[in-house]
Amino acid sequence: MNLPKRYREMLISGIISVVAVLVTMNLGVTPMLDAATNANLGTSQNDAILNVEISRIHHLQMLTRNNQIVAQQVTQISDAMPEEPRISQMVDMLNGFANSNGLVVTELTVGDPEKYVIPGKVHAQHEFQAAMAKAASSIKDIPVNLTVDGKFDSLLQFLDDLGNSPRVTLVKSYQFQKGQTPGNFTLQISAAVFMVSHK
Amino acid sequence: MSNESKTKAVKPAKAKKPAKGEKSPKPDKPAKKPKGSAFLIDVTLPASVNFVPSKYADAETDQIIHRRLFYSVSGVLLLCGLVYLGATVNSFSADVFLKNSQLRIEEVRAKEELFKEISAEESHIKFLEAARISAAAAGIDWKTLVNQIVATYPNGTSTTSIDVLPIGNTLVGSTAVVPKDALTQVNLSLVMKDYTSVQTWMDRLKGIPGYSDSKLSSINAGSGGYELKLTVYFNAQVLAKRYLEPIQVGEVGN
Repeated sequence: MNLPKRYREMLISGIISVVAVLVTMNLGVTPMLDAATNANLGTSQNDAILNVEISRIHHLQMLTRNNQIVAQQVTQISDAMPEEPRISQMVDMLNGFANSNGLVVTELTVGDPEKYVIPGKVHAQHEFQAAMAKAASSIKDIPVNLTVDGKFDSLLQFLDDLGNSPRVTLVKSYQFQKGQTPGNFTLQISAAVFMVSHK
Repeated sequence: MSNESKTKAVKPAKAKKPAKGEKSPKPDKPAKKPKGSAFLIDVTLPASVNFVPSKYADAETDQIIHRRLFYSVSGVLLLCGLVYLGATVNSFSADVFLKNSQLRIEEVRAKEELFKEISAEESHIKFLEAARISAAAAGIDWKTLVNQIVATYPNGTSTTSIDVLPIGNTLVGSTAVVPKDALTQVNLSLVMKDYTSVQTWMDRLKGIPGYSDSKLSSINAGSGGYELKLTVYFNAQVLAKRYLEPIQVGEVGN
């Protein structure tokens, strides 16, 4: 192709300009802009993390100031879910509930701790799922079977006390039967008293 | 003298004839200088003579074009350089900010180490709290539920027995179909004086929160009245949902 010299020069200048722009954009500017965008994103994420960490520090400072309350809370929750079976304490607690309701414990058997399996339909309840994900595998239950005699209302109150006892207790099944004394009932309970195996 | 005699061709004119239909230039406008070496002298313009040879005149035009091209290309290159520089500065400063933020996080985390002990206590509380929620999840407020059932009894009804079975279990020998949503079943054995009020009573049972279904398994006439056996199924609404209120660690009132 026999182009006049000036057109050739114009063409070459154009090509140089286009190549310069393309090289600058593709090899220099675009990767650097991408890197800067990523760095900025990382910085904003770090800022969010930093805010959380600073809040955490403030929280920990508050806990340090209130360390006595924290210690009380540790004791309280450890009594609810101890790491040992504490059988004698448990028996004392059950007798205490019976006595306070004017009932007589006629039979009490305590089994060995075993891994607790949460019933499937309860597991499906969304309120418990976060807690279960965190700790369900560490729970053990101590099977307790007991029989108490007394008035119907007192027996009901006994059931209520068990369910709300400081040591977490679950009434699994029970049976009210008319007792031999008129107006009295016999209540047979199958319950689980809980503990945690380890953290 | 005619116009033709005033105009003299310097070189033999090779002006193209206008094509058919093409308009001839208007007579009052000066004729355009034709390209190339052949041109006409317009006598209407003031007389002037360019003594620069055409070779040098072209060189001057080329120089102008060269200069413009040089400036254009230089401008583009300079612009590219500036953009590159801007991108470099931007990238560098973004890196600096990122590193600074990472350093700040590390500093704050290092501070957290000072609170290791109290932090461990807090996480222990939270773990035991989760364990307590999970363990008590299947708990039911039996006192309330049994009282609600008893409150529906017709006058003159006495309880012979109340059996509550573990969730999912059924009575031995029972062929009853358990409702899908049933979490627990309460088997009632009662003595009623009046047989006719059974249906009304069963309707009243439906008003108990968490009621799922009920199945009457037998009615037998006895000495004290009619002996009834009824199974009532309850769904997840009867769960007591104890301990769901989160423990505010370090705060009074938990």
